Amino acid sequence: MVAVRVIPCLDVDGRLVVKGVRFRDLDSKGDPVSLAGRYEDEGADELVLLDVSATIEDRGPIYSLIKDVASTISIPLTVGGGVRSIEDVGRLLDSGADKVSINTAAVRNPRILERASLEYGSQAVVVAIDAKRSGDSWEVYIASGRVPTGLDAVIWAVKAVSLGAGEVLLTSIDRDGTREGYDLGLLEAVTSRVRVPVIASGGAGTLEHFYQAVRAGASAVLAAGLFHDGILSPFQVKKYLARMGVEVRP
Amino acid sequence: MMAPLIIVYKYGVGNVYSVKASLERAGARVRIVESLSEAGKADAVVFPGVGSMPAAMRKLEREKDIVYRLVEKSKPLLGICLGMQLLYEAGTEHGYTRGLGLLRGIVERLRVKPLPHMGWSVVERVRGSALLEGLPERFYAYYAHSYAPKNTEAPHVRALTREGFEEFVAVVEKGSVYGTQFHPEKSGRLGQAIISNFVALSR
Repeated sequence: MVAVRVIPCLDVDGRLVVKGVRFRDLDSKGDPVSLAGRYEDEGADELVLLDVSATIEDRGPIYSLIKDVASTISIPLTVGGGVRSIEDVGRLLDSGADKVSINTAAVRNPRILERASLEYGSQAVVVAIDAKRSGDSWEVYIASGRVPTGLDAVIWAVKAVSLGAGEVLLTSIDRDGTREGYDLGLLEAVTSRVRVPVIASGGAGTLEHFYQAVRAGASAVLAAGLFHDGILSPFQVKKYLARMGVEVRP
Repeated sequence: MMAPLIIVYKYGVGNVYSVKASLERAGARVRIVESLSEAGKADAVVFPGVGSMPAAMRKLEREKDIVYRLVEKSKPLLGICLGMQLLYEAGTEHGYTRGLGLLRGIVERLRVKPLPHMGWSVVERVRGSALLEGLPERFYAYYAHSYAPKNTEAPHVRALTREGFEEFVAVVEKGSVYGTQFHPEKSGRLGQAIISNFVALSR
């Protein structure tokens, strides 16, 4: 069995890690390079680094920052935010990213998923989906949660995977930063429809929340503020999951 | 002692930056090259794990003889992921591709689901290995692949991984030729120990 991964997420604005609630009221949480090193020491299985201001500011990723983080750690690194073209994907991989997460650009031009997976392999292509509940379903938002698209999150996930995305990074905007638990309905709806790994994101607040996400089909569980504020460490989450019978890397 | 010079042969597209950083952390000087013409001057050579076997062999075909000369001179060679697969006789990715033939066996598509096999799996040591010196008998390592050699009985096989009903080669060693199907540069502290062992073998 492949072990369930515990993934701290570094949301960066410029060269600072930030965290808000429901994508708003961002608060500074420190230096991404030193946080990345700390999380590897604390048992993180992978890191996600998302540039939350790139798309809004209409610029590409900060490559020098990616290199600084990549040369500090020896665990896989997924990078997203500001990816606009297939060239951006290549340059991120050349800068030390193992996987590139595509969100806004994939919604605007789904072919980018197909081209990136043909060129670099689907293992390097992650589709990031930010979703907000709307009645009985979930709507996809882009541009760091600012722009509604009218797309249904489950239908979009299925389409993105069929185009070549090798993994889905699924964030609940409603739960982001609230520590009320992952949106399990959203998670189950997506994991039951796609065969690629799904990373649960948005809402982790207690150890039980991580286990609930695994039960709902997540292959990896992501959290940010909870780790930044030192409330839980990746090690504590993994110890708990192991006790609940989930395979994790010790 | 002078830091050993290790060349990383970039024959495909993808992340070679992490291999470079990992070798440098282990005390090596690293050059990323797109041709092996200068390989004779290096202390060791790394084939990183990026791209597909047919594309990589198309590039390597022209430089095959250089590789054989390096091996004859016992220059340490480390293949990572696809880089290890290239050391084998052949592979079945997108048809049939002849490999370097330094190791006996065929690289085949995995049957485990889902593919690619991505994430942390257990590596079990089956024989003594210089590359695994100081590592536990069983440890987790990071994989990202859909193909692997499955002839785990062969004497060059030093560790294997089991997924479901399938088992495949995880670590190989034959003379100065080394390989890992997983990514040591992405496998945390223990992976870094493997990279450090290789750098030590290059001194």
